[in-house]
Amino acid sequence: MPFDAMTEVSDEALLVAYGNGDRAAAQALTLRLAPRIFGYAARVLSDRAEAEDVVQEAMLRLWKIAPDWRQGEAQVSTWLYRVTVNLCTDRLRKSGRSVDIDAVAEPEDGQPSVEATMVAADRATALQEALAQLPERQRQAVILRHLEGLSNPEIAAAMDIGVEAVESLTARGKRALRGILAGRREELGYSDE
Amino acid sequence: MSERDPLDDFFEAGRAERPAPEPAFLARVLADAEAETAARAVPAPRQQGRLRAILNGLGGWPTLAGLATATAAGVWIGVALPDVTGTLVGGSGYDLNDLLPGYGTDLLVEG
Repeated sequence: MPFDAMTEVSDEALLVAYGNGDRAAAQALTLRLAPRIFGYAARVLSDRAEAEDVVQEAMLRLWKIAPDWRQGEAQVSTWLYRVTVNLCTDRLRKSGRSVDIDAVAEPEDGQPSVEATMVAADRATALQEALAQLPERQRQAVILRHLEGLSNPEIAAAMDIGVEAVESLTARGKRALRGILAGRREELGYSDE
Repeated sequence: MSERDPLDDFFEAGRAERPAPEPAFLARVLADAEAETAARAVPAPRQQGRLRAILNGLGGWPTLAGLATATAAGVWIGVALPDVTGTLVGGSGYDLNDLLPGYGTDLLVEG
């Protein structure tokens, strides 16, 4: 099957095709899924090299399970996010970078800004720095919800928790982010209160 | 005035600055996929020694089991029933009539 014809093909159909030896299906899956989980892992881990390791391992597990994939039981992307979430969690815990909720610093008073405005890239950087200060589970839930665009049920499946727990994690994560970023709002070009 | 959550601007900026993997990395992921396909296509090599080759030539384990049974039966007959075997071997011999009663020599004479 030509690669161009695969844009409308579901992840699951591609995975089954790959399991049957279709090389083009592997290419389509790689281009479709690897960038998604890479974006997630790079944000959670704040490290591109580590994110590459995690994504390579997650994709390898996908390749290995392809011949035994049971159709209709789970979405491929949700399954892959779940594997990636677990691999990231393991990395954070082994490296001791997992942040305890009590260890989150209280936001400091905003310092006078040198520049009146900052570009969106600076806001993205500020967000990434703030995310890195969140407790690991809150960080993962917020990234999955607000940066990866997953629904709460999808996040619940990926993180192996209930939907209510997802809502709680994202709510607490956003509250913490507001606190962390509040001190930088003026610096980042926000003049309103 | 705006009731927009200030975090939304950060999220919007974050989505626009999505970390993207290098093409070389994606090539490595794809290479893993192809290696996995190749590993599945070729079954693991099985070590086949000379004994295994002989056994396979005979027809495998079922054949060997049959041979073993026949051998054991032969030994048992030879050891436990020497009289019977002696009778069969040491007699005066067999006539064609003993084996094929319908083909007696009288048939040849009359024909």
